[in-house]
Amino acid sequence: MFLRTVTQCSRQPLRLALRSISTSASHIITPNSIITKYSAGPITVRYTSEHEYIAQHPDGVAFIGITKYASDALGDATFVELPEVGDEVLKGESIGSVESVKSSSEIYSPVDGEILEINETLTDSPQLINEDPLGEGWLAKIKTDIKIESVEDLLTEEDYAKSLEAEEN
Amino acid sequence: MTSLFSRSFNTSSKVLQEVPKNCTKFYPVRPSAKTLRHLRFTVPLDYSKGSNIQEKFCGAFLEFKKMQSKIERKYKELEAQNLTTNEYETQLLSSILEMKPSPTILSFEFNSIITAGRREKYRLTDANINSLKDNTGYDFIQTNRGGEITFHNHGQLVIYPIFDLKDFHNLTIKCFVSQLEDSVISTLDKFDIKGHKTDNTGVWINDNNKISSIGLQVSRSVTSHGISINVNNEIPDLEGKTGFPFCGLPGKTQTSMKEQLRNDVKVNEVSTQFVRELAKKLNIEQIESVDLDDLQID
Repeated sequence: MFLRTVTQCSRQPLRLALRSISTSASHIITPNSIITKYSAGPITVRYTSEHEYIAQHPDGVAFIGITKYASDALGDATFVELPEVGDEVLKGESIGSVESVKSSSEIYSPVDGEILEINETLTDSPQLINEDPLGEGWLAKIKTDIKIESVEDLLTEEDYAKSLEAEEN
Repeated sequence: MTSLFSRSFNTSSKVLQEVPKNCTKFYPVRPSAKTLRHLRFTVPLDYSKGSNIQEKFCGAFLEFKKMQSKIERKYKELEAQNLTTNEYETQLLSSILEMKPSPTILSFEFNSIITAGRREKYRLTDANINSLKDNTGYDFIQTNRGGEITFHNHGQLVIYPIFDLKDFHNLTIKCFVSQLEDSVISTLDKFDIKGHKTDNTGVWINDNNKISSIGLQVSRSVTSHGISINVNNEIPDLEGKTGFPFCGLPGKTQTSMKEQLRNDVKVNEVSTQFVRELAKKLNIEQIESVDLDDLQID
């Protein structure tokens, strides 16, 4: 009886600790990464409900990728398919895919725009998607006239964190 | 008895693939997902016909999700303005949301065909494809699923699970694939065949013989494409004939339930058993199944 009480007590704080790790750091752009170094900032970051992020610099150029939550859910990435530089993409359109556990998951563009650059290192190192999805594992750089804070269905950091909590509960 | 005996003494030399973390306790979070529909196609079809049928079902899911997110966004907007819908509107909207399609399994046998996973688009040349076709006599189709090159033929069960993963608590694609593999293993077990997971996705009889392959596609959390289980089919020596390793694993071969049991098994019985096992694992209460020999679409 005593033992049971002890295990219950010790389990509770552990679970809380795990939860706070998984929802706090899973969607923050990696500091001092290729994404943050592109300009002096400030960077605006938004998220889709399908766990893509878009990080936009003052000149409108934005990096697109998937969140840590998404890459954890996928498991080890074995192949990444990217769009082509110069592609004109539409919001909600597939711009590529990430394959893990023999499953190919579509990636969708959060905005309309033109693909400026793709992260070609992913061709040989798809594992970057798991190791640093919000930094070295970025997928594509897009040029867009749209200010992402005005796109109504993109989520702010706060709303995205809330949606992750809701998904976990 | 045989089954019990082999369960307690058959220890594989291969270390079993670790169950992904948190891959437990799945249950439907929407009423629609409390029922699993099984459309069992009882006559072999062309692969392209099966894929068109699958696209229709998948499309219905995606269309529904689009509407669902519009409704949810509207609710949020109203909430932000401190407004609410009236009782009639609330009821109407919630009854619309209840019309979500249930998770669906399509099961098929296909006429002989070779299909390639998405990544092969960047690997196979036209000459490669022609040589695959010429050396096997099979036709070839490029798909958008995961995985590499595989074949389908009569006697092989092909299962397309069309699920919105978000309809279930905790269900990530990694966990879903793991549940699919486990369901194949439990199904084989019912026929007294021991299947295992290895480091390579799919279900294996031993390190070199695969009995079930997996290659899925996920669009906005909706799964498509599938799992194959070799039931009574002939296993073509595709690597020997074409030089292309199947499923990206040189030197590995495939086996069938018939080869393992030295006895015929009915494909339809295997599909029914598989659906039961998967429903059990995902805590789906009810299965609705229908046998079809064709489905007119469009």
